[in-house]
Amino acid sequence: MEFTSKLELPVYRGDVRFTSFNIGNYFDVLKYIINNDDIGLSVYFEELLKYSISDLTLYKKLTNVDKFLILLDMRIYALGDFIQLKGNTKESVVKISLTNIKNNIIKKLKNYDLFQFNKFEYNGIVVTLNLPKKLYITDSDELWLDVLDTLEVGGEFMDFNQLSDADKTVIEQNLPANFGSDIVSFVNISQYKTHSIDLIKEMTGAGVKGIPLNLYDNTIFSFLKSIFSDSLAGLYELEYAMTTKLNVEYGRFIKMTPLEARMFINFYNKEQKELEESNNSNKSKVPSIKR
Amino acid sequence: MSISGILSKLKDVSDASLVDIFIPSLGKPVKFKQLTVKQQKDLMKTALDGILSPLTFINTINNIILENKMEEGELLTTDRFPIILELRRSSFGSEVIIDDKIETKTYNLDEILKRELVFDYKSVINLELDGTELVVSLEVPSIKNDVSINGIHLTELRKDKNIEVSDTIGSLFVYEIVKFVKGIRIGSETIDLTKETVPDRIKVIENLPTALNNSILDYIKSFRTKESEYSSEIPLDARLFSK
Repeated sequence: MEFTSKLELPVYRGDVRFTSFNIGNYFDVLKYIINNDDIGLSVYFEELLKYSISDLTLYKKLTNVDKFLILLDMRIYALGDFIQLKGNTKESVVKISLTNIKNNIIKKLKNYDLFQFNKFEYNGIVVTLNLPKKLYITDSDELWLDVLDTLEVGGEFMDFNQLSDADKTVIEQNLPANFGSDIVSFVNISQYKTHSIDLIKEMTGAGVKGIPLNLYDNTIFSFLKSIFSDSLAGLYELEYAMTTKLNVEYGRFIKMTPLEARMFINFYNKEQKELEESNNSNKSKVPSIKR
Repeated sequence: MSISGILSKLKDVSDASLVDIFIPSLGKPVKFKQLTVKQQKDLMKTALDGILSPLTFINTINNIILENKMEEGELLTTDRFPIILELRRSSFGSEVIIDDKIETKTYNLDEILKRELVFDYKSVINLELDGTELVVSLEVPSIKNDVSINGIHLTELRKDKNIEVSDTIGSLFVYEIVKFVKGIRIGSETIDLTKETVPDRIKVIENLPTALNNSILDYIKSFRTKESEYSSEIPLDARLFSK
């Protein structure tokens, strides 16, 4: 049984447990980023979440911001809490805590009742809407389908989250157009409310531009891409060091988080340094591994 | 809960809320299904088609009219206005506010739809070029033919990624004439153009004397003028459906 982390999600309004982001995942993510394959990366993130959460019914209920927070949490535990942002000069580099970003978003979203304006009725048909589910939206067609949450008519109830996109399109082709205006108004209102939440807070002194939380234009996907970006070559170096110098079995290595692997490298380097110091008289050179 | 169960219930609601729309060419009301979310979305998306959007909008409207019509009977392009406006009113109400950045105008569809849109329909109009034996026969095109010719026109326009506005407007005139010209008679020789391919019809139209083309355009304009008076010049584009 794998270790799982727990997070309270503000839009799903419940706890979710998920497994860690490991080196095997990291290799895959970096390859998608290097290939500039946003669609591939978004599909990978969705599959990673499905596997990590392991409850498919629950996964289908998660909105894009819930998924974003889980991936943010995974990133913090796998790669560390801090990122560096460049300001408007070469010298101005600001360290930002991802935990602070995560906690701020959770706190502010918990205070918003997005659901006071998400239920619409016309001619005996009741439709409820929710924030989009997909981390990456390719066009407005997808967005309209993605905010549909439930439908009730003539005693029949449908959960849109359990449907394929093709089935959702068929329903959309038979829903009265009155709901189209409701969708537009829901998107506008929820966008306005979440826009007041900072993803990155503006820091005028350091020349760092603020980024508001926008859930309808792939801002959060782009942010995830940037905080997961790193050197693939560096990861291969880590693999080489762990498997050849520390003799860690490959299967065990790829299941570690990068932070765990780097901890082992640091222990090894420390040990080698102590050995070198104690063997000073022999002047033996032991290779040390730099990261 | 199943897709077919839900669809059946949605169909029941749709069938119970059909709209009667008076069709000028038929002289009687015809039942239509109301607009769907997908159709509204398709209409709004045409606003993003740049210089092609007037054509994509009209063709989207044409397809919606054909899909939502619940009775038999050929509809003509001159029937479009009352159908579009009534479908709009049934889904979104009679007030239309259009903000074109210069001014905001409000239209009341209740007032517009009270008016009668009367055209002088004859099955075929013959226009003769003075001093010649050249006669063109004109008729108002059906919506079905309009869809088909617009489809070909859009395919042609999309081939050229660097198309200019002037090219689009020029081709719009030619294709519009193609839709209205049913046949040509020169002396005793007659050709039914509706049986020819659209590219061939274009070639014929492009070789007609300018004076005749101008007369054809005047005939077409007579319908557009009446539509404009009927609709208080309400713009016929995606803004009509983005409530």
